[in-house]
Amino acid sequence: MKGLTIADTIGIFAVILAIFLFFTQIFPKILETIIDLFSTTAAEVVARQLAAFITVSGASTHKIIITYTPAKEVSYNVEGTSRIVKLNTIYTTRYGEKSSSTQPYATPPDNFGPFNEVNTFIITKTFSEEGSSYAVSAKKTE
Amino acid sequence: MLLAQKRRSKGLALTVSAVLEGLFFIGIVALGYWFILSRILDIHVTTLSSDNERHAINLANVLLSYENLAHVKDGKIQRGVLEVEKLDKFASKKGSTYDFNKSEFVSGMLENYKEIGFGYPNSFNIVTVVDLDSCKQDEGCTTWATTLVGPISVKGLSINDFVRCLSENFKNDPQDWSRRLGGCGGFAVGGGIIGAAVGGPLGAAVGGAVGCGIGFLTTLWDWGDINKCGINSMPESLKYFFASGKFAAAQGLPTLIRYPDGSMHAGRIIVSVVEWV
Repeated sequence: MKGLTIADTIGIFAVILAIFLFFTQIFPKILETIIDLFSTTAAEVVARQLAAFITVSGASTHKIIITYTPAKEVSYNVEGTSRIVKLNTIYTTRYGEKSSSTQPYATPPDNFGPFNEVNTFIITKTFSEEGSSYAVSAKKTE
Repeated sequence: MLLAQKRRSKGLALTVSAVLEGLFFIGIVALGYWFILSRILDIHVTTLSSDNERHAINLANVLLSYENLAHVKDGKIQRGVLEVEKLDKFASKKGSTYDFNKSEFVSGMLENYKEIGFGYPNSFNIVTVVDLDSCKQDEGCTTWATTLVGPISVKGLSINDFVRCLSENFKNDPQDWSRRLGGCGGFAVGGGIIGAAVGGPLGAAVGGAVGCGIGFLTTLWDWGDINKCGINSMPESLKYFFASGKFAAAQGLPTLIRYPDGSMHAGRIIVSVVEWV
């Protein structure tokens, strides 16, 4: 009877310890990773960043290429219309918000895209004798 | 013998049972975790940002490198060094910071708006360059002002009509002056700090004059004026611009102003972005 009590106690103790470790050590890290991913890949955040990058590329006095990859795990549908970025997020996880965002930018090109299922954005400003020219392209990076 | 064997294996059987129970419990927890992630958890991201401020600062940065404003030496753009000849061509109005209280100056600045390839869509962007080294307490500072517009994609919105309506509603009655002087006082403090950094007590007085001019700029109209111009539901960005009168970006970015004789003056470029959407 005594051996039985000890074995039971050890078993219950091990389970409690496993659950305690899971909720104090593993679960917060998983949640932090999820929140980190979403805070950097949300449609509004990416659209805002992309619009800001397009605008500030105009401040460069030399040729500049800006490459922006928010995350490799997430893809986007994006296009620029009348200097407004329209961006939709494609998450593979169920808990990902199916969100979209529009953000304005202040420099050419007035229109670009549409680009579907991309996660890397390339903004280029070049100079020639006629003046400066701008381009926005996008691709999927694995 | 059999009894002794049974007695020995009883503890083992119960231990296996306890472990199985534990595993079952862990399975329940794992199932709950999966359920939370797949069915209950729904992450929404909210970003808080002052878009007007960001847009104004970004556009000011672009203009500091704009080839039709910045000095070009040996084929290279000198970022932040603005040429007076180019400013004269760029600006719709050239005058003093105190001219912002004159309706003809404000109307000229708004109605002669330009499309230079830069500017946020569905907005008008007021650009002011102030020469801080030219400031006199009685006359204010030399100022170049213009309005830039970007593409319009909002149905029924006419920048032309809106700008004309705004300039027609620029009033000079005592009530408006009281509001503008309030803006003047608020910004004079900020201007004073800029001026003090530029050049001691005189600089502080001069900076106060600059700040006052900027204060005028941000309190030129009130809500009633805007409503008269056909906007009944005012977007937050527009409301913020007209209602706050405290626009951090109105402090501007530092710049140098290059005169034809090669002399350089310290200045500021101030961009105010008024957006509909």
